Amino acid sequence: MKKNTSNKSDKKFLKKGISDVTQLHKEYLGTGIPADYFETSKLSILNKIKSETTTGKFLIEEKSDITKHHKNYLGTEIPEDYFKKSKSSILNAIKEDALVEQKPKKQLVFYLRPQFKFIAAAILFLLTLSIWLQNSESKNNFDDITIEELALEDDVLIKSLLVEDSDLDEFTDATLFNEVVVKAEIKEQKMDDLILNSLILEDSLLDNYMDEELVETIIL
Amino acid sequence: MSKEAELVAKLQNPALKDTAFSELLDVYQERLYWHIRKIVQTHENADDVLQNTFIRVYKSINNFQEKSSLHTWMYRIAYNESMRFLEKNKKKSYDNIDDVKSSKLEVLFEDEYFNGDEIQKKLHKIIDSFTEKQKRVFHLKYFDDLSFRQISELLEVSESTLKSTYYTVVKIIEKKILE
Repeated sequence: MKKNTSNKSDKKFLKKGISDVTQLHKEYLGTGIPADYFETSKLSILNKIKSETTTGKFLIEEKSDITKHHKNYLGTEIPEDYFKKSKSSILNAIKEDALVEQKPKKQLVFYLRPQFKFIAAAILFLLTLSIWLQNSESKNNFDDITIEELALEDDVLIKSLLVEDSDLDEFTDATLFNEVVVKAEIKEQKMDDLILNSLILEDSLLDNYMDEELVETIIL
Repeated sequence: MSKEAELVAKLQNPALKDTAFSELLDVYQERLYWHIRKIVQTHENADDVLQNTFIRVYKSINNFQEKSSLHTWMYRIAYNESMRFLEKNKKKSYDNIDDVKSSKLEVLFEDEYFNGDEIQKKLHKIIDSFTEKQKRVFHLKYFDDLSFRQISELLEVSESTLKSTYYTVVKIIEKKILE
């Protein structure tokens, strides 16, 4: 019974206590609160807890002060309405980028594709190499070149660009001597030999003929 | 599902991607701009890097695997883009690292969008005298207003190390600014 009474009085104290704290402050200290303050405060606290647990503090934080903060401490500024303009320019850049990516890539003719270009280049290289090797094998060394193989006009033309005039004159005289005088002399000698031979040949033939004719007429 | 996870899901959905990206710009554009601006100094450079950063985010959002938070991932992209930009410009304009350091502040002070007084210039010079790590911690905490937990995730450094670095830097700044 006693216990029941004390429970009853506890409940009464708690109820009375809550309503009385505000009342007590108002009566003795003169401090008041707005009407329905605790109801609105409760809602606000619950909302804050809910949003912080679901979104994370970072996203709901006020961000308008960042620019001001930078201006105040670092003196750095931005053009007016920069973030609005920047947003649209970023969105446009992304659209343009997407359009470029959507465009079909140029289809190259098969022989213009890089792999075919490499193959063609390799074939051309091998062909050039084989031609060059063949030519280099058939070429004689300079030492092996006979004087007849060197054309007079080629030599004169090339060397005349590099050699002194006096040397060139000497070379021309020597070549002229070799080419014209010596050869003419050799030809003349050959002609003499021929004439001489023909004379010798004619006499012997004539002798033979005469001998044969004489024998035939005497015997017959 | 948190708001950030919701945003990521929308960004990874082709049908909702563009709307979600516009939302993403609203939330992060200003923060990332200032993060970039403190690295590349001038407004013009920051504008270029900001654009590159968001284009990269748009292109790579499908590869984002939520191993870190979205903002950490975006701050990393912004930092990497800024460094890439500086590297590219360094090759163009400077012969050695000392030229880069002195020129960086000169370029900032001559920027059209810098309007700092002597105290602000002094603060820039003091901050510039710190190591790259100290500078980054101070900027992220004091100006970008990230929590130590977020900075720790971003820089992959323990919170206690970050706190000690930050308070050391703050003390030095307070001392030097009054000199």
